[in-house]
Amino acid sequence: MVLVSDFLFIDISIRKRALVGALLVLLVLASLGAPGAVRAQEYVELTPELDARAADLYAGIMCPICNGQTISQSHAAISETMRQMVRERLVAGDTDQQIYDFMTEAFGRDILASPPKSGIGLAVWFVPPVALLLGAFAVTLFVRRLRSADGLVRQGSGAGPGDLADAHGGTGDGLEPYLQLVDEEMPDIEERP
Amino acid sequence: MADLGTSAMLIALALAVYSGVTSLVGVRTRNSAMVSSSMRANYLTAFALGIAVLALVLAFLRNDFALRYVAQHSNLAMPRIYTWVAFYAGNEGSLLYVAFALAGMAALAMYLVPRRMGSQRPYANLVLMLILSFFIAVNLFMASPFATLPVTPIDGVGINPLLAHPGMFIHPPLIMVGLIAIAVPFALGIGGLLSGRIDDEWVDAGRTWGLVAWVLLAIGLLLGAWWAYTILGWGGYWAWDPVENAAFMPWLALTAFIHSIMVQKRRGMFRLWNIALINISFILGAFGIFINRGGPVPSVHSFGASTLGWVFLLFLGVVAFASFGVFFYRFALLRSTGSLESALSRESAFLVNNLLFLGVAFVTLWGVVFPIISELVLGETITVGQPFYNSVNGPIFLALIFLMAIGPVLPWRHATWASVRHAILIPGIITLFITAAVVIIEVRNVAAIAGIAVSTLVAVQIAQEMIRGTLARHRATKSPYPLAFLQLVGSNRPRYGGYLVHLAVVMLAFGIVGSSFYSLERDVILSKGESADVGAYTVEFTDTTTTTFTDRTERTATMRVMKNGSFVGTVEAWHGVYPSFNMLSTRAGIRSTPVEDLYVIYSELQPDGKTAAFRLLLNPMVWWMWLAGPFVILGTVVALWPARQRAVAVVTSPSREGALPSGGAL
Repeated sequence: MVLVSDFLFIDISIRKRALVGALLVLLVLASLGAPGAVRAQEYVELTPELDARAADLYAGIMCPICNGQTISQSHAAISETMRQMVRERLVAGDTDQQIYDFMTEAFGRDILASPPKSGIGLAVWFVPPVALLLGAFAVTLFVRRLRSADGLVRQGSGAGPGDLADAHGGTGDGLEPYLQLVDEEMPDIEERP
Repeated sequence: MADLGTSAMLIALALAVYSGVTSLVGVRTRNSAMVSSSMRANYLTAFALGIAVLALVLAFLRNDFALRYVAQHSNLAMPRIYTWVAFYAGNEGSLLYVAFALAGMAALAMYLVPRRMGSQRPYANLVLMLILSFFIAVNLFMASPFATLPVTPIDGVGINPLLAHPGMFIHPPLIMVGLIAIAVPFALGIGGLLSGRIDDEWVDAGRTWGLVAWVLLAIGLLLGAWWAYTILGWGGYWAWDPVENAAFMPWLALTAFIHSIMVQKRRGMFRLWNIALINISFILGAFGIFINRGGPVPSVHSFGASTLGWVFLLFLGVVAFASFGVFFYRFALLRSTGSLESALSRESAFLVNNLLFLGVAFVTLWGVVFPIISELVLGETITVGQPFYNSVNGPIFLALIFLMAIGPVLPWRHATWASVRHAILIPGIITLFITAAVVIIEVRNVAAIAGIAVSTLVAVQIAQEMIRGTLARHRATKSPYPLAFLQLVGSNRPRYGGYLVHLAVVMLAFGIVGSSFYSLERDVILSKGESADVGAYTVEFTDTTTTTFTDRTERTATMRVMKNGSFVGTVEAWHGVYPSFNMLSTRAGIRSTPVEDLYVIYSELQPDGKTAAFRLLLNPMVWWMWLAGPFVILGTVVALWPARQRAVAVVTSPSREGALPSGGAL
């Protein structure tokens, strides 16, 4: 079956890696003699504190075979297994970073729900703040230009009538009928001659 | 049915092309009869597509499995009510639905647009008909819902179980309509530009249709969140999934647009900017359709594989080039008349609003596109998910909410710091107290506290505004308070409609802060009679029942809920196993209160039939998020309601002398 994703060469390697990851998990499970999801007697129960950390970790790890779901969201057996792996590491006393490292070691780097702040991943984090700063700079320039144009074009023009009521309305008590009447009688700008 | 549907679509295509051509020729040759003819062809296109829609509905109702689309998306066992969902469950049907919705809105928009818009109207019609023709043509020649199978199967495949939920009756069609509805304000803006008469005449109609598209997307997104919350069974409602983002980005750009257009309406400024904004909105909408219907990225929404990716990518490219082509071609016409008198004014607040909304849109687009670029150019697979969006967009949203407290109280032209102080002094003090109380009770992290603080500030500020206004109105007109309040809202509908929507945003913010930072989560395995604690609640697994159907096995777990040791009720958590789809579908048991939701997911029953796996969540404040929906609708209706007649103004005028001097800080 030819998918659009094939046409765009996007998730082929995701699938390949998922396959490897799934095989790996099957191997692990086969060696443990557990044929599916986690059994009750093996389930690692956590203290409430560790449960809270586990929830954050689940949300940071993608299910390798599900479309765009984290292991916190997915019901797939592999996600259940991965959650169990996270719980085991938590009980063993690993830090969050150690657990992420352990999981990427086993399943590949693209199971991380957000890119690491290093290498190519740095670009992901770096660009948005720069773009926002540039945008803020552009807006400041724009406001300055409009204001200097104001000096030339609008010298001495008093407050226009159209928005008097609204302006006063902004202070909370400009809702007097008089001002309101002014507002009603003044058309919006496009209706002016 | 196949022949009827196909012919109706062929006729619709011919009519749309005819309408576009006659619009162009008519306006060029100043032939008003031809322009009228093009408008009638526009109306008939919607009618012809309506017949095609009817044909497909009938095919579903009559189980006409000779049609491939019907065979793929329904079966004999499917309740007839799900025909509504099956209709748009695949690309073919959803494209027909989109084309029909666009044709209906195009007809309505051209019918309602004031005649005084003159040559702008046929040009807008031309743009609409070009877009519509594209959709009908793709639908007809590349993905026809009326394609037949060589052999008629006895039964169909059936509907995807995830779609069989009440949320699915409204969420997908609203998103699809919302995305395509942006075409209408876009066509009005670009049509105006093409006609060369770019004054402010498109502003009213553009704002109205911009708000229509905006509210459709807003409600669609909220319903999607609600659906995810109740059925996907992970306790969340928003995952920054590529397809969610694809619908979210045009909504963000539209939000910037419906704010910015007010500046042009009131002050004649930002003409250039508003056209750019509606262009961006529609381009993002086209991108949304590409992501949604073309399926280039793995997503939870990948219900059907699609081969139409390149078609929608092409559409996206053409829209982007053509819209900004026209924009720069007519650049000189777009000079603004007004000017900015002060950096502290409503106008500047709107500029900052635009910057922040486009900032969120950019961050989101970056997150969606980067993995594609990384894969294509660098050959490295990268996932950009929830943690990225939360930590980058979160602060921008905080700034936006803070702006909601300041922006609406800034007067046009120029404000003084005194007027700002007057507006937010009392809310600021109240906010300080509430925030201090929250900090004393429980500190989770700085982001949570900041979120609570700014949301409280906005809520109190809006309440203050409404109370002050109602009191002033009561003093002036002697109306009883409820009536005075209604009169207040009626006096400036765009403003008070906006406030209602802002209140909805505050409710959403509280829900998001509560569930993101204060949620408790536990995975537990329980045998019948055993219980587990989550927060102040104790949940006991009392029983489970199993019902087997031909296509699925449903199980319901009954849980007794105790809070602080006393019994408060039972919840039922449900799941269904669909062997033919190899799929587990859950429906959470939720005990919802304004303070917190107790949320139980029944994920598995062990083979012994007595032990089951559950996920228990305590999600504070989520209840408020679903209340936001009605407020969004109400606020939009208020903002869109046509201006009242003069007669009402006369009623309010007699007491004006008495109330005049209390002008306040200005």
